[in-house]
Amino acid sequence: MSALLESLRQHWRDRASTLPGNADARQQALEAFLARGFPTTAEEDWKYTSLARLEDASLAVPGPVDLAEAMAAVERHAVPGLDGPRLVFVNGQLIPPACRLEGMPEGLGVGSLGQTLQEHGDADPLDRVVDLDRYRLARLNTALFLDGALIRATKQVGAEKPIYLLFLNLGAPGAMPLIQPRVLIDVAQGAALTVIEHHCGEGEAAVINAVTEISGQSAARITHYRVQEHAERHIQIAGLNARLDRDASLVCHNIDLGGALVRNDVHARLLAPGAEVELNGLYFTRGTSHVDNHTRIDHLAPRTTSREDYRGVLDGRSRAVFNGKVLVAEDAQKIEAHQSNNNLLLSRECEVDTKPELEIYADDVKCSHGATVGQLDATALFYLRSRGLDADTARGLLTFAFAEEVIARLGITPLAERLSGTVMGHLPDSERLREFT
Amino acid sequence: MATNEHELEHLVSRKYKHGFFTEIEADTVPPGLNEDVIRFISAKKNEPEWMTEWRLKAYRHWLTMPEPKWAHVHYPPIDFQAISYYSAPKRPEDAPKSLDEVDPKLLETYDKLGIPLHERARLAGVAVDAVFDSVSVTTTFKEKLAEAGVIFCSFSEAVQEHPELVRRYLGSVVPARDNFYAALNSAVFTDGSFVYIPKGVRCPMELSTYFRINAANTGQFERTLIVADEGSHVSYLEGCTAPMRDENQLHAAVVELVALKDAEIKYSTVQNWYPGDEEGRGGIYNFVTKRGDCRGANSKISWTQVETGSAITWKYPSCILRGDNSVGEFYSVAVANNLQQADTGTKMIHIGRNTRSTIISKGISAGRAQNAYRGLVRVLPTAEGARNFTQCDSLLIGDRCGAHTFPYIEARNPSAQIEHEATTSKIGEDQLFYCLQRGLSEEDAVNMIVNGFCKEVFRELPMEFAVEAQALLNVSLEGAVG
Repeated sequence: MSALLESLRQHWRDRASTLPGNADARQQALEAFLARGFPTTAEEDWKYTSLARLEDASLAVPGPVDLAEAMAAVERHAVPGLDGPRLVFVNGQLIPPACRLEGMPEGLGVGSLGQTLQEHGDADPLDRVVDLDRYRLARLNTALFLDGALIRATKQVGAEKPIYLLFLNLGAPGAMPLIQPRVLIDVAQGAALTVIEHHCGEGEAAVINAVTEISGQSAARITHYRVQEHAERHIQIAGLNARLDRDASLVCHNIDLGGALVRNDVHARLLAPGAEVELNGLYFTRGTSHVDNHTRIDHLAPRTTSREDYRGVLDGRSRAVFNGKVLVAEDAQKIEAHQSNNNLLLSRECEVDTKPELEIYADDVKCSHGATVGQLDATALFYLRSRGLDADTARGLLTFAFAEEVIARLGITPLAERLSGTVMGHLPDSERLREFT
Repeated sequence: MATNEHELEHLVSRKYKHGFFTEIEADTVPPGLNEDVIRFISAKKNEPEWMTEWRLKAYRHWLTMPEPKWAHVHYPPIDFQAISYYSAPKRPEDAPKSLDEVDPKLLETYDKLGIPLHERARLAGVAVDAVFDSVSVTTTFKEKLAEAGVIFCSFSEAVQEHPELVRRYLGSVVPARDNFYAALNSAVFTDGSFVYIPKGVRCPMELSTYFRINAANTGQFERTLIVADEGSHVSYLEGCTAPMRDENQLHAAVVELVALKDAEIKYSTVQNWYPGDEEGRGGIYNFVTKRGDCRGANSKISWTQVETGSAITWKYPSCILRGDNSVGEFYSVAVANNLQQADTGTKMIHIGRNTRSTIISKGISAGRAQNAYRGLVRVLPTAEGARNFTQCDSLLIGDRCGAHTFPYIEARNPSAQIEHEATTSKIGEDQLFYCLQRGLSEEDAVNMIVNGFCKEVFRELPMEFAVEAQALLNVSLEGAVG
């Protein structure tokens, strides 16, 4: 066994007694994970993304967090203007003074997953949604996560304000912390809620292995944001798993603006008629970063709908991977599934690998996918130049507009403004661009 | 739609039209594969030593390779030791020089297939290099081609007559170690076609080969090599049918195309091998490696295929766009009915500047068939200004079939422009209704709609081939509507 896997086992021995929840289930998850180890590029799903750099890394379960330091970091990173419920985790651990949980409507529970497991350890709500054979990194999370968020709408509530989950990951010199946030979202019949998962970080390298499980009962309406603004040495792996019952709907926004190595898996299962899912994605890669988005939508029942639009802007020597799979099961008739992935390459050294997949076993379907790789429209560039803009500004503006189309779909103004600002900041000569927007 | 169920029942149960078996004494080696068998094949063909060595090297490498499992197809494991690797018509020494000398039984076979060799040759001006089992038995119009300097002969003949050309180009596009089935083919290939078009020559006629698999238990390992020298042009047609056999037959062919500067090769295939019966018994395993190399600037390779047969198709005719401004095209119609499985597509590797590629793929699934498009468009950093357009559409007929798309796009040049579009749907009920209320039968209406769906590909085929392909499509989809 590699040193890495051995060190994981060691972490288990050290920490098992302090971890919340069902220890047996955790140990089983660990053994099952260790039996197969991390995915390698020999596996089709990981063909373009190598986790080899983890092999030599020394990982550590994060130690206690200095509160003052944490609060200061939260101040730097939290999106201003979000005044709904808020949970803040620094290096995977809840920071109660930074949280805001007052004024919650009846029937909506937002709290620490660790605490809930501690209190009712037997009724383990983990791994109910995620397909562990397909996504075995979830097992690692199950085995060693410290804490997370548990969001439950137990009756027909309509949460007006988005629930803001801030995951702040601070790397420090020495061993890389292995931070494993866990989010469970359980939405009862007819309830509606919005959750923002904001992953960001600073400092030295850290490894984040996040797992989110969303379960929407009939006619539930869920909007989920996963925003990632990590420091340039952070490695993030995130798995979002959702199951939707009759007429339930899920809208997922996936925004990646940072990180050294990022891998996102979204797996949505539409289990009953009328369920629908919409995925919006934006990735802006720079430097030597590598961002891989794998999405999979299983249409397992008739009359289910999916829409997916991912956009990418690539600069520097970065690499982006997109793999969007849509599966339509046998007898799942009257399906509509549309997908598109558009990529803009800004530099000579970047690379994009995209693969929109359709796997269809029913006939009464309308499915389409499109993928493009290209540059800015020459006529649009010409238009701006003819209005007196210099080439760089014209290019910057059009690139911004390309990314902004995804951001414009975000329904939360403070968040959209923040992300627009970040995208703008990534573009050369952003000061000048701001004058135009 | 249930009104003409009875008629459909009848159509569904119709047997494969081309299923018959000609008894010809074959000179067959016992099943099994080892170095002796390869030496036997090589000796049988009176090959020079380098050729034998090349085969053996491929064989030794093949032994180390695992069987590929990634395709979206399912079949019982193949016992490579149960296959007989050589089978030739009885009298290879006195190969016929004209049709009169051809074994009448063979001619009868061709007649049943609707390929009146002489007539076709005379009327259509097509030279036919008919391959029966593994040895070419007749080549027509040789003289006319010779006049233009075109070499069009069986592969074994080419090894004897033009060893320098064969040695120079063999394996230069599909190396012997390329993949499992290409390695197997390199080791045991028995015959095939060889074409060389000299500099600046436009081949005076369309070249055509009809393949035919006969004799039970003989895998057929064809090898085709087409070299178009600078500024030349050739259009090559390949078509095939196979007699009904109960056991699966493995077919692992290799086709290599080389287009030098300003040359153009157009390669068209109509494949109608035995697809197996309604329960999926029998049928051909068609595991083929086809690749074209646009080696020179401004060269062009165009693949057009109509795939209606075979139990399993595993085939990705590809273009390596090495020369600047070279062009690769892939037009495909793949039909899968009953329990057929097709995993087919193309690869376009953009290396040179301003290289362009077009991919048009139309997949039709019916019955319980699975039809997958698998493609790769790769733009390397050197391919400044590369351009690709891909459209792959799937049509589903019946609720038990599957249609899948696996397009890989890898772009490493910012000036590349790549567009990929795919749609999957069933035949529009409004379209069908319109045709029906105009008095067309459902069968005709579906044929018409399907033919319309495939039009973009059919119009790339040479005329007589296009007609044949359309008819073939109708036959393949018989009874699929309901």
